[in-house]
Amino acid sequence: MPRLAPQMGPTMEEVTGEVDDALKAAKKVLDAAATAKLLEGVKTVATGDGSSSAKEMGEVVSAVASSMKSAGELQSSLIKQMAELVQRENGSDDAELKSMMNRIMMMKMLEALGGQNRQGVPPELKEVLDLLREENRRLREEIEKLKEDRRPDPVSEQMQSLTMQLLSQHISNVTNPFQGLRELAKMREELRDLLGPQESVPPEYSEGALRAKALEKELKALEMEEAIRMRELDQKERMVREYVPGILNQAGAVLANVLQSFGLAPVRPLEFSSEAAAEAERMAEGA
Amino acid sequence: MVPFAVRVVCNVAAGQLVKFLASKSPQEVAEWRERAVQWWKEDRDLSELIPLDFKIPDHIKRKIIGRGFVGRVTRRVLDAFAVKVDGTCPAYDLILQYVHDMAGNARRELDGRNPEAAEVMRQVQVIAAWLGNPKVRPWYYRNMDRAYAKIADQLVGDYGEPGGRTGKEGEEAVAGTAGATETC
Repeated sequence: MPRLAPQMGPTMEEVTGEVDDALKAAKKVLDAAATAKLLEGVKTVATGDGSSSAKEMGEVVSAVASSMKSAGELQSSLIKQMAELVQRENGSDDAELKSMMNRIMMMKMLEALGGQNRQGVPPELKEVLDLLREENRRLREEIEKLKEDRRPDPVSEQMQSLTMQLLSQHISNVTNPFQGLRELAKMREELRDLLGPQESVPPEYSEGALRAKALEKELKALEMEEAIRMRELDQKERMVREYVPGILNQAGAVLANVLQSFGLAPVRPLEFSSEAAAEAERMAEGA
Repeated sequence: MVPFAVRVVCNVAAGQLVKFLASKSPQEVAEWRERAVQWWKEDRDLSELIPLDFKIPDHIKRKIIGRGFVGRVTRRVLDAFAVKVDGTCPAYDLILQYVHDMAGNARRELDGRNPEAAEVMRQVQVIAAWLGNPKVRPWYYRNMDRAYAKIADQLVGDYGEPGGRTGKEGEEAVAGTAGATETC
């Protein structure tokens, strides 16, 4: 088996010092007492007087988680350092191998310590975790309830639908003026009924009596107008009876003359007065 | 059918005839009437009774028969004046009717105011009715044809200056008119 060539590297004492430092840091972090103390603080916050807010509790949980994460990171850095040391010490003599073995042993011890820490969860922490779970569940329920509360209630929904209905009705009234007029007339009728016949009004001034008087006046006016119209018609008829035949005869004569003057009428036979015709006949007979 | 222009001419002619007779006294008209009846009985020419030997001045002829619208209308009237329809002469009859009607109107106007003139108008009416009598009417037509030929000869035949019909054309026109106006 070839021997490894000696290499320059840190001394065993330096490595041991570094490992010791790392162990110290790990112990500091993973100290059960310190952890218990921290968890106790968390418990105090969670199960306190009830004034702790969800934010505070979240902060505590976050701190716990970050500490746990730091522990993990620390462990991984230790392993990394161990691996580097093993690489550096590769090819060293038996003494160096022994020291290497020591380091591995220390690592095992560290692992055991870590496993012991993991297995050894104190009951207070369990209690805190249960409390936290319970609180988480309660908070979830509360959030659900709040979400449900934020939904519009049936009354407001009913109000909203009613508002929409009234608005659409108003719009339809505006777009259909006759509907509005009809409603107005109806309201007017109702108002008239409300303000209807007053018992204090004397009968001669009642609505019926006034209406009858107005109708009588209207009837008289119509009769007068009828008489005037009849008189005008009589006059026109008389005029027509008297003048139209003469006008027609005249128009006919004018038309006949016009037609004759344009050669459109036949030659009328000779027409002499009876006296002249008789005397002329005697003259002709005398021959 | 009597054209408008012929009617106008007949009206003018009747008016002139009534005026001529109105200037006579009732006795003169009565004599004229007796003479006319006599001449009708003897079938003599009426133109001997009515003076038709007048001369139409050349400037009047030129205006009547000259070129243009008036000349064309005058020639149409002359052509249509003696046209006969169903054995009657509408223009000649129209003259008689106008004479009778005018005399009747004048008589109504003069009645009670001027008995002599009214009597003249009455006799004119009788003469018109006598000339229109079916027995006398052919003699009347013949005399009117002669008178028309004489006037047309003066208007058309004698007028041979430029702007009107030449003498030959006038003779032809007269001959044509005479042919158209057969003696009733």
